[in-house]
Amino acid sequence: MANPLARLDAIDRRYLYGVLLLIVVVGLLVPIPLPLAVGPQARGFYDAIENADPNKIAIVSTLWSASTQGENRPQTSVVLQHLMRKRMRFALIAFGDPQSTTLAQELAEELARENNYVYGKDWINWGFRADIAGTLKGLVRDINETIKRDSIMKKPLAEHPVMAGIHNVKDVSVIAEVSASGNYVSWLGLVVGSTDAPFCYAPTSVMAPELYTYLDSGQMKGMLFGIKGAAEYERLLGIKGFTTRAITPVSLSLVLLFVLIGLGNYGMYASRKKPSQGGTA
Amino acid sequence: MDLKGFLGRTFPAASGAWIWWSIILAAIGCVVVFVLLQALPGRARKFLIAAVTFLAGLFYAAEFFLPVNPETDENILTFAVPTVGNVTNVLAALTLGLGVFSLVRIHGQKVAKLREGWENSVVLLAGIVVMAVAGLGYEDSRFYRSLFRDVLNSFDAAMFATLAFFIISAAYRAFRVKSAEATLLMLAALVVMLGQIPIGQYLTHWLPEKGSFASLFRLDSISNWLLITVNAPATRAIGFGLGIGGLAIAMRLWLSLERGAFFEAKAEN
Repeated sequence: MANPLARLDAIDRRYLYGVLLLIVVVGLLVPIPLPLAVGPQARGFYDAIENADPNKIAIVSTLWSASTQGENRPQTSVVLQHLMRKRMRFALIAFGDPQSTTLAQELAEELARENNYVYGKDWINWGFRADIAGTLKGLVRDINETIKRDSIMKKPLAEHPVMAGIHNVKDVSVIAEVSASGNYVSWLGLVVGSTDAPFCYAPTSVMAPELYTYLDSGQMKGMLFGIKGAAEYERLLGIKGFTTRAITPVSLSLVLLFVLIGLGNYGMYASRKKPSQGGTA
Repeated sequence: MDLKGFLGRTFPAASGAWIWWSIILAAIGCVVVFVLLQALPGRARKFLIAAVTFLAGLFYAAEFFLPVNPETDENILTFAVPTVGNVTNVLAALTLGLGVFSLVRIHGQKVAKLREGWENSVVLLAGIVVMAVAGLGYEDSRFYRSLFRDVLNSFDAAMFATLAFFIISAAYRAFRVKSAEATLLMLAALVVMLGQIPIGQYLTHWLPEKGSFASLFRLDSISNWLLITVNAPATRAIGFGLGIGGLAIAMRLWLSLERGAFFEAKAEN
């Protein structure tokens, strides 16, 4: 008689999908109140904004679309909330995906209403730019000449009070990029060396491990590790928003992943047969 | 040599009606250049395109490497960076238009000849037209916002969300501990991932967060150590390799040494 445990390495994938769906839904509805330690990366990001020069402007660069908004939207949200809490003026700019500028703008408008931030006076949207390298090189030299007009009112940048005294990246207090892509290479290569402004990055979780080398070198002052980084930032800000709730299904999903890997391996050894190569996901 | 002044005198900034005349003349000039390019023999066209590619690539390299005036922090090319950036933006927009043209041509033919799957092409073409009309003519309307937020965003997010299901299934089927390396990899992955989530951090939460030797044994501390001390040097090494490879490819592209390019094939005909 075949060992019934041997079947553990061949569970129908529909059961796996069902369990994952259940875990995510239950996790979102019933969050587990577990403490989350704030890592040095999120603290570095927080400190960079906390200690930024209030007389200069902060740049919040976005490169994300609806596909990664589960992680990138909360990251953008906590960064903007921190800037607004500090009453710092900021500029949005978007690269890579045209969706990015609309999604970030909608979020900024929503938060601006809650925090009494006035467009043109306290914040501005520089809009979407297709050419990353050319734009960043232009920002180093002359922001008004490079961006020319804002993307909402279509007025020359210099006519907005928020741009008073802002000429190039030397007038920038902090640069925060929220991205689902490797845009940090352009920022580090073309801008960071030309300004004293600290550069912070908020990538998706899958991208985060490759950025530790830049944190280690000090070129990046902080990083938000996916949605977990946003949850840490919420803790630093003392708020309980979406990420504090969303970290539960993320945790449970990873636990499910470990359990399934364990079951798969146990089934393989129980069956004492050579594991199948590959297979459909 | 005052290159900026020379260009400013030769091509003064257009204003008023001259802006429109400049655009019309530029458009006519583009058509003329395009026709001339078509009339050129293949080899001459290849040479011309290689020359333009080289000059375009040379601009940023020269602007980066040329010494700057310490007082202005600029060199003779720095003033042109925003303009060249704008030209690149226009070119990027043109390639977007080219992509749309290509899509419409291919799927239009499919629909016209009722080839297999033509129904999907109809949906695609209708999507392009409706989104373009809504976005260009009615950007502030509820219709456009609904298309963008309710349709495009939802589809985009739903597509990406299905990845979680595939990752769970793929990890379950593929992650088999069959060697010492695989065991090491799984242990490292386990510690790193557990160190990133509250449930994992809870396992060692009774240890002090920092300031004592015992804090080093917290899962989040070990996870951070693995990411910074083990992962970062490995990433840096891969980065060096990629950088050198990228430089080699960039040089080949810049000098038009890449074989099998479209224009090369045309030139050989």
